[in-house]
Amino acid sequence: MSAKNKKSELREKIAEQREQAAKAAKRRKLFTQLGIVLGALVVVGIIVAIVIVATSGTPDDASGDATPPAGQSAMVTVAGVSVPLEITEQGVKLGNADAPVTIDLFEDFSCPHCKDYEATAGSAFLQVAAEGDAVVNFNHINIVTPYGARGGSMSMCVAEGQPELWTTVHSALFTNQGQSTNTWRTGSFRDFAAQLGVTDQDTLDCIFEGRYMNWVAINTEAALGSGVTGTPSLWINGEQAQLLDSASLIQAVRQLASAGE
Amino acid sequence: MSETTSGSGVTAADESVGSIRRLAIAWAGFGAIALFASFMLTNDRIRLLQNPDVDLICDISPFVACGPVMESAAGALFGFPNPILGLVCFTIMVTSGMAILAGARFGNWYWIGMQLGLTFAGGFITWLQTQSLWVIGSLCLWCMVVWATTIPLVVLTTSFALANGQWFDRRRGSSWGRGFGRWMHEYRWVIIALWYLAVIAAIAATFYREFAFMWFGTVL
Repeated sequence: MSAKNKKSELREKIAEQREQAAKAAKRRKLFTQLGIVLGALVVVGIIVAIVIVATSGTPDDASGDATPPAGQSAMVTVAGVSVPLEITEQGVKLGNADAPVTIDLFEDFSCPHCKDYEATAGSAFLQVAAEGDAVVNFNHINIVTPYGARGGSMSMCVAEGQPELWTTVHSALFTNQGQSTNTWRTGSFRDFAAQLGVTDQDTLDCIFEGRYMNWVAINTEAALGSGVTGTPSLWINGEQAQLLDSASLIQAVRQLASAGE
Repeated sequence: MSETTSGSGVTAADESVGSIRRLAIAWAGFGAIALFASFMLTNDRIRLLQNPDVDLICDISPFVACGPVMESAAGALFGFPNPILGLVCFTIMVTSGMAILAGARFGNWYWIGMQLGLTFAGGFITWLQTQSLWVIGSLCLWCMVVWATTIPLVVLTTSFALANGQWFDRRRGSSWGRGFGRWMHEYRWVIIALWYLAVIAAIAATFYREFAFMWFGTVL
C-alpha cells in the first residue's frame, strides 16, 4: 500500500519537475528572443540616430555646399530681346547693368504666396528687364519647405550651365510647386530639369547633387538678417515696396525710369 | 526533449515541427490583407488613369503618396502594373491556406512552387523598397501593407517547409536542412522582427526630416 503510494508520489514529483523544467526552458527561450530583438532595436536605433545627427542641420540629403560663380554672365533672350543675365552673390541678375531702376525680389520656390505672385507678376519682371528700364535681382532664399532649397539650387545650376533656359526654369519651378513636390528629392528635380530641356550633363549633375543648397541657406540667413522679413518681398531702388501687380509694376518702373533720366 | 530530437528520429510522419493549421491561417490571413492592398493599388491605378487629378486615399502627405510610386518605372517592372501580379499570387496564397484548413494535403512539388513564388516575392519587395526609398522618394501605403505581409509569409513558410522537409520525400529530407529549419522555426518571430526593424530603420533614416516636419512641425 505505502509502497504504491510512494511510487505514484515519485511519479508525480518527476512529472512536476519535468513540467517546471519545460516552463523554465520556454521562459529562457522567450527571454533570449526578446533579448535579441531588444538588442537589435538598440543597435539600429543608435545607427539611425547617428545618421540623423550626421545629416541633419544641413538643409538636405544632398552634399552641396558650393557657391555659384558670382559674376559669370551670359546674354539670354527675354521677350525677343537679348538681355544680360549675371550670377550674383544672392541669385540671378537680369537686365542691363546701367538700367535706371534696380529691383530686388526675394523669393522662395516653396512659398505658396511666391507662386501666386510669380503667376501674377512674373512676366512683368521679365518685361521691365527686357525693355531696359530695370535690372532685376532674383534673390533665392528658403523659408517654407526643402523644395525651396532644392529649387533654388536647381535655378542656380541652370543659370550657370544653360542660362538661356533660366527664365523658363525659374517660372516652371513655381508653377510646379504643390503638395506632392514639397518633398521631392533631388533626383526628381533632375528629371524635371530634363523635361524642361536641360541637356548639359554638369548642369544635371549639379541639380542632382543639390550643389547650391547650402548656399541658399546661407543666403536666407543673410537676407533675414538684413531686413527682409518674408517672401515674396519686393524692393525697388533699395526701398521695400508693396507687391505690385503686373500693370502697376510696369507703370511704376517706367515712371521711375523717366524721372531718373 | 521532444523538440530537439534529431538525426535518426525522423520516422514518425506526423511528428511535425510547428502546426500546419497555423501556417494555413497565416497564408489565408496575411494573404487576404495583401490581396486587399493589391486590389486597392490596382483600383487606384485605374482611377488615376481615368482622372489624373483624382484624390487617392493613399495620398496622405507629400512623401506618403502612392501616385508617384504607381507612375514610376519600378511600379510596372514587367510591363504591367505590379499589383496585378499581387492580385493573382495572393489569391493563390489565400486559396492554398483555405484548402489546407479544409483538409487538403499538398504534394512536394506544390510546396516547391509555393517556395519559389514566395522567395521571389521576398526579393521583389526588397528591391521595391530600395526603389521607393532611394529612387522614387515616396512611400506608398498599400505597397507597405504588401511588404508587411510578405515578410512573415516568406519566413513562416520557409521555416515550416525546411523543418518538415516539405520539398522532398519526408524520409529523405536532408538533415542539415531540417536542422536549419528547426532553428529557423524556433526563431521565426525574431527573424520577422529583425526584418521589420531593418525596413523601418531604412525608412526612418531616409525620411526622418519629413516625419519630423509632418508630426512635430520641426525642421531638422
